Amino acid sequence: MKLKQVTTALLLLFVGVSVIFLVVKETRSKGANTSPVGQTVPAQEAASIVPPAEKSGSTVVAQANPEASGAVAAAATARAKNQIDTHGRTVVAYYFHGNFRCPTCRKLEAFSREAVESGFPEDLKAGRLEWHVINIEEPGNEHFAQDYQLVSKSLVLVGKEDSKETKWKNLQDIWTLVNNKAAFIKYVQTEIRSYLGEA
Amino acid sequence: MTAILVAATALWLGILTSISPCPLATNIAAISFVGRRLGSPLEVFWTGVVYTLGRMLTYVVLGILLVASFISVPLVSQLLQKYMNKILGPILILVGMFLLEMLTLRFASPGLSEKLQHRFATWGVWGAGLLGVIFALSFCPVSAALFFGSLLPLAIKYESSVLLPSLYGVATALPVLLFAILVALGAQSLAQAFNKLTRIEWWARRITGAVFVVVGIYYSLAFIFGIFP
Repeated sequence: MKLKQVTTALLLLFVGVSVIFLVVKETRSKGANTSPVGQTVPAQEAASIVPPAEKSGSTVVAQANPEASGAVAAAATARAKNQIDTHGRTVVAYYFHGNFRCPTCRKLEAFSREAVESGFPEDLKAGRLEWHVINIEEPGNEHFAQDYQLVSKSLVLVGKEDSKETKWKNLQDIWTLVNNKAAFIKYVQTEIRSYLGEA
Repeated sequence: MTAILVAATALWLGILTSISPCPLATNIAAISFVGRRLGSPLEVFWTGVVYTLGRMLTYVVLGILLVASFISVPLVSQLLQKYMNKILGPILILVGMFLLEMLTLRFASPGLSEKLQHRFATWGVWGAGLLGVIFALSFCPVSAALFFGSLLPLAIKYESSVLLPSLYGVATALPVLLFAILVALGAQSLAQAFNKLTRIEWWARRITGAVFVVVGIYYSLAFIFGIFP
């Protein structure tokens, strides 16, 4: 019976610690949100706040300028490129995620990236297409949820004319196609192509 | 024809939700909860049905509120995903501890115990409904995308805030419901085969408790402490 009492005590302790940890974390993050850092950040800036693990998502931006490295440089490149591309149509493909990364979500991101990188190497190089991975739970990125009506991890295409956002589309069907990689990639590439105006 | 197609889509979205890996842990918890009273096939069956109704009701209420656009869809989705999974861990651990009799409610009069046992059996059936509500509200990325992103636009388009969410809800509970039906059908013969059902039930209850505690610890570690990112 002693074992049962010890287990009970340990489990109650675990529950207690969990609840305290949760409350402290939530009150702290609420405090952080009220600071000026939590204000809206333009999309291009936000892309540079992508955490280190997700940096590879910015590789396409970095590729445009081989000398550039790191988030700051990538953001600068993105801005510079924006100035070059002020004329004509550009498309930004965003993959939005939160702090919790589920196995299906990782698959969505990997397939999306593959669809973008394998299907449009020229457009990526020329800056007609950009690929960004963004954590919407990081300070400054919360506005994306309202901007693009995000309900979960999402792949969103944003169409720009003369660097002004003209249209966007949430590629919702990725969720029903995630178990069929070929169909997934075809779907994403078809949508991007139509946004790029090549269809 | 369109109506059938739309209804089938709602069902399919629910099935996709139920078989995706992310609600797996809650499905396992629900199945063990439903199956723990192996000795009473009818009770197992009703527990499964009430669990399904709990899920259905949750999606219908959300459907009505969101189709009528009382509240912002992204906001509800993000909030439920953010908070429900966090409070689920401690809740599951506590429920598991009750099932394992590590925590007990003490009553003054011993004469009440038989009545209480009966009440606990009924509590088990209604508890399954509550479990259905809580598990349905604990949206994971897959269920959030399929419910808020795919089913809801469909419900809005066809002005069906009750039927389509209901079909979706039933489909999300399908693995648990099927299990309940199979147990209800098979438990009698199992009982005859073993003739030791009280012993099996004793174990089933403990296994259920242990499953709840383990799933609860997993949820706490994953969503509160962020250990399995």
